Amino acid sequence: MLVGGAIVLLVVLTAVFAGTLSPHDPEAQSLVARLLPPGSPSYPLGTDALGRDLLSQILFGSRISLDIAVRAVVLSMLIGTALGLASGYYGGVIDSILMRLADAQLAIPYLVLAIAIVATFGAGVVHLLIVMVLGGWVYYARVIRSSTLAMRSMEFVQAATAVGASDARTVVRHILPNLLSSVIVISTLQLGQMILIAATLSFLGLGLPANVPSWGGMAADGEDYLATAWWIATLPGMAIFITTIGSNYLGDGIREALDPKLRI
Amino acid sequence: MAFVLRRLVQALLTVFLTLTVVFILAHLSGNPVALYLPVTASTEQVHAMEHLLGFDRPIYVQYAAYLWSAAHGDLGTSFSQNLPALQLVLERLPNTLYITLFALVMMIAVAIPFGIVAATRSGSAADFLGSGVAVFGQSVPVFWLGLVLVLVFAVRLRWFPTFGSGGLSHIVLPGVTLGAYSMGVVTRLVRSSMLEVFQADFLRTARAKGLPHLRVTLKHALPNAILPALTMIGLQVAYLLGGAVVTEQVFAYPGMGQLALQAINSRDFNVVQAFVIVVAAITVLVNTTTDITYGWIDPRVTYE
Repeated sequence: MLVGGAIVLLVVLTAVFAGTLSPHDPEAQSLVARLLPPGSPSYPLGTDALGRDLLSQILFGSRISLDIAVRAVVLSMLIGTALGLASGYYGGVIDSILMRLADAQLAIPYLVLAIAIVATFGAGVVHLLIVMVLGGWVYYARVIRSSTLAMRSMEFVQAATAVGASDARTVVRHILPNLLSSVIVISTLQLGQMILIAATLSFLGLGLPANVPSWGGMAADGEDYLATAWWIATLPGMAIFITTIGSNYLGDGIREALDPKLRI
Repeated sequence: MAFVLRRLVQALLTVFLTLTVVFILAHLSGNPVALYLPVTASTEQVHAMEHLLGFDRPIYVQYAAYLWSAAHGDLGTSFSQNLPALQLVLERLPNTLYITLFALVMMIAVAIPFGIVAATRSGSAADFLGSGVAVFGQSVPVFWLGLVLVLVFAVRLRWFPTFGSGGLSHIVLPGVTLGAYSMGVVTRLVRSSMLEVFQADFLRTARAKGLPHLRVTLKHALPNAILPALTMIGLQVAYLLGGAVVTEQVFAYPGMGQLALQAINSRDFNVVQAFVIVVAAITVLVNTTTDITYGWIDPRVTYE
């Protein structure tokens, strides 16, 4: 957990200080400095086919990757938690509809859903975010629903209702605080997955536009040069790998500490 | 029996929902007539084409007609190749199934032994290795693993071909790439459910009777621990079919995922839709079969 936390912290700091840390402008092209291998003077991780510094691109890429992943996690969390609470507390028709939706959601592979949506609306930041949230809300909704359902019949909730607390007050003041640990655990574990998803979709050309220096897009650019300049495709992928490992370890650690029985 | 029937109805409902979502998406994507005609087409020509394709009918008539032809296996025609979209997708299906099956077999062959060893020797080097495999699989970007495998085993060592299809040698690298994530997920699940079963009373009894450790593990603990893993393996099929899109792209492997990506780029919507529907249908089929098998293996499982 400590190792995971340290990696995540490092990536966050990198994203914040990308401007100061980068030795070059990530967009600056140079004809003389094309396809330089890692370890070249003033280009520690080498350059790509347009002579752009790979290190600077990876540093700035962390900003984009974290930004979109955090937004997707927060939106999924808000929507999933709200729907899960409504579903578990009220039951009935709302519950049936939401849970059937969740089932249908899990039946269609996530990437396939992304393909269907991007094929319809085109690629772009907003569409990418929609795709990510569509895949992300289900995990919160399911866990929160079953916990809420169990909690609804517990004495403290019935006591709150008995003294005249409104539905909203019961849910927000009495049920929600008991679910926070689950929400935190799911969010940390999801962060890594969201980074992976954004990178994968960008790699396929279904995510972030080509002019944004994202890790997945960089790897896609480098694919054509794999045999001659291996570093362009593999180093940004390494950045994704390290970040995801960090957030998975952190998430596992938080789960062990807060909610060891939770499975998502 | 009621359970099986109910599960089948649920499966049909999911396929129906998928068809509906695809229909809605197709109609949100704008006027498909524009794809058939040059930009200089006159309004009359557009109307004539709309009439020819049936887009001037009320939306519910179009929806009914769409469901009717889908039920007869007609998912429209490919704009770019002028062939039935479903046929194009099904032609590519075997290739995708080969790498998916390879990934499934690898996942089961690695995840179950590793999960068991990690659980029985909790905290040992084997546990550490098993957890390492699991975390690696869950954290590595599929496309990156594919690129690295191509670089090492195809470009440098020349053990396997770098791209294309034909024979087992073309399946190994894509299969490994595709299966890595699921292998991680299932290894963790087998480990954690084995650990859970080890706490059970009947296992303490088995040990107290003096049964050998191996027998307790394989005959008493494993059958109980394997059930959650079975469901998870079923769910992984959905993931594998989706992940095949990425894998096929990296290895230029002619499966249906590659076809779908090409179809997106050429705006060939019917092929994309046929792909989505075929994948959803396979997923539903596998999940339904898993659930029914589950009820058959474990008599304690009943439906409400």
